[in-house]
Amino acid sequence: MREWTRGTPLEESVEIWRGEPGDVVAAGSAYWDKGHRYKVWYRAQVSLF
Amino acid sequence: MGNWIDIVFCLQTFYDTAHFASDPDAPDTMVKVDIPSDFSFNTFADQVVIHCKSEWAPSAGHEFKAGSVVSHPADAFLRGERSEFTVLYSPADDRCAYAGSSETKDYMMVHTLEHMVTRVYVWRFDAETKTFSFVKAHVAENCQSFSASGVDSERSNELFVTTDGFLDPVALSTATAPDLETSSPLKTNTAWFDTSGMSVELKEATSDDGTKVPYFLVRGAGIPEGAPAPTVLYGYGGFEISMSPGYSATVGESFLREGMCYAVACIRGGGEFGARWHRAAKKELRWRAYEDFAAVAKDLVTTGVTTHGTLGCMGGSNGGLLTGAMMTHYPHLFGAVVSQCPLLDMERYVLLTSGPSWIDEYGDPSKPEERDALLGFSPYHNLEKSVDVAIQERGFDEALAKRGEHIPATLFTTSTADDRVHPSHARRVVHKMRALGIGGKVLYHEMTEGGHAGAADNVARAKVKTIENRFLVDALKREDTGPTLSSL
Repeated sequence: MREWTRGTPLEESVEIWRGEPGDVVAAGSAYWDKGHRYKVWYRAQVSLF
Repeated sequence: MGNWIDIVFCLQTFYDTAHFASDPDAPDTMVKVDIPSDFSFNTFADQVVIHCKSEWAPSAGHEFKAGSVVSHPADAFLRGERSEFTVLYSPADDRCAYAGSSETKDYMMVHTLEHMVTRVYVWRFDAETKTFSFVKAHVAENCQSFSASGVDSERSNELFVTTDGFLDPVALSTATAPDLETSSPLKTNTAWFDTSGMSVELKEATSDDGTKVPYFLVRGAGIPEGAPAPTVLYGYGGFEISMSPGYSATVGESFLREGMCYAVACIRGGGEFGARWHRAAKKELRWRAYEDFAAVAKDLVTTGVTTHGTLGCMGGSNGGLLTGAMMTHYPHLFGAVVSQCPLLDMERYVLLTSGPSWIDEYGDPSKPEERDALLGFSPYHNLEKSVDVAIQERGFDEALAKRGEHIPATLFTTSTADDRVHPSHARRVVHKMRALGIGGKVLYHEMTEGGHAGAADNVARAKVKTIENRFLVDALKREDTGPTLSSL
């Protein structure tokens, strides 16, 4: 997961989170919540179904 | 512009999550959010909203019941303060469960399922004082499934409201929070059958261990008051999957318009009352789910809805195992059984397709104590026993039982291409029943395509639904138990 700022080169984006080899998913989103900014990442290592 | 909060979710297992958020005093530093790993963690404006899956006592004087939903100012929470909680939901008893929340600009809607009734608690958030205050609760009518979600939760209090019921096709409306009871219809799915003379009721049976088991009963058209009618009982009971009211054109057309009733059992193993209801029928407790389903079957008869001879049951996959277990262990309760894409051999299920991923649900046949429980109910392994039980415990004539006359008319359906539950389960049970000479009332239909859903497209789906529903109507309504082996 890298944080990229609009208008800057992609190479300058900084890694802020990384999944692990055993993960089945590693993803995230950034959002505004009524004027408050959030970033949400998640990663799953085990899926039972 | 508001404050920034970074949150990182680390999902350790299916149910366990670790949360990380940026330190409000050092935004480049992530801190682990100190909540138990199975709790969910969301936000509303500058508040965190936490669903407590188990009992939680984060600080002195703040103790929350399992299933509670609480909010707390986000920055203070991330600094480790635990003094400004607002309780948005606290279940009144173990039959009340949180079912998710939705929001508009100024309101938070806490959806719950309380004693199988959908109830939505509406809270107003005051951005000035940063506090939630309770406004009102909305109860869904006529056992309908009900949900309300914000159209644009940043800017307005408009809501999309979706309803779905046994007699009400899925309908989309708009409403304005907090007034969920007043809505303007936008679009409704096609109504495929005339519902006049039909009704929906939520009832309750008592299982062998005293547990109350809810079920929905939909009464068909033209049934005289107090007269028993042919009835189809549907169930699943596993993997924390809840049975909720929903419209079905085929149920309406095949059964309800034909003067039959349709019931849906909310047995243990499902998620109707949260994780606890699921855990109550896992592994060595699985038998509880079957006792629950049998209790509903008996209740339908003792309350005069139907008779055992005109009661059928239907279920697929884990529900096919359920109805297969009914055929094997409770044949006297049913006049007909439909088992779709079933698991039936609970010793070898771990060797077939997706089997290993269900060990957490059913148990591991390589562990002696779990193997005993599996073999105790496994339909494939109890066919001979069902004959002995019919003779010794139910007074069945020995010659008739040995011909399988104690077994209700049964239909197994499966697919050659099922890549989740292998068709071998149904194939081998039918083969074994015929080899034992007790398969005379057992029919088998295998589709060559379609996978675990049973049918590849609507044409194939119509065909197999027709086969299954016609089988039930014939067996229950016309008391025609179908062709016997000798006539095939």
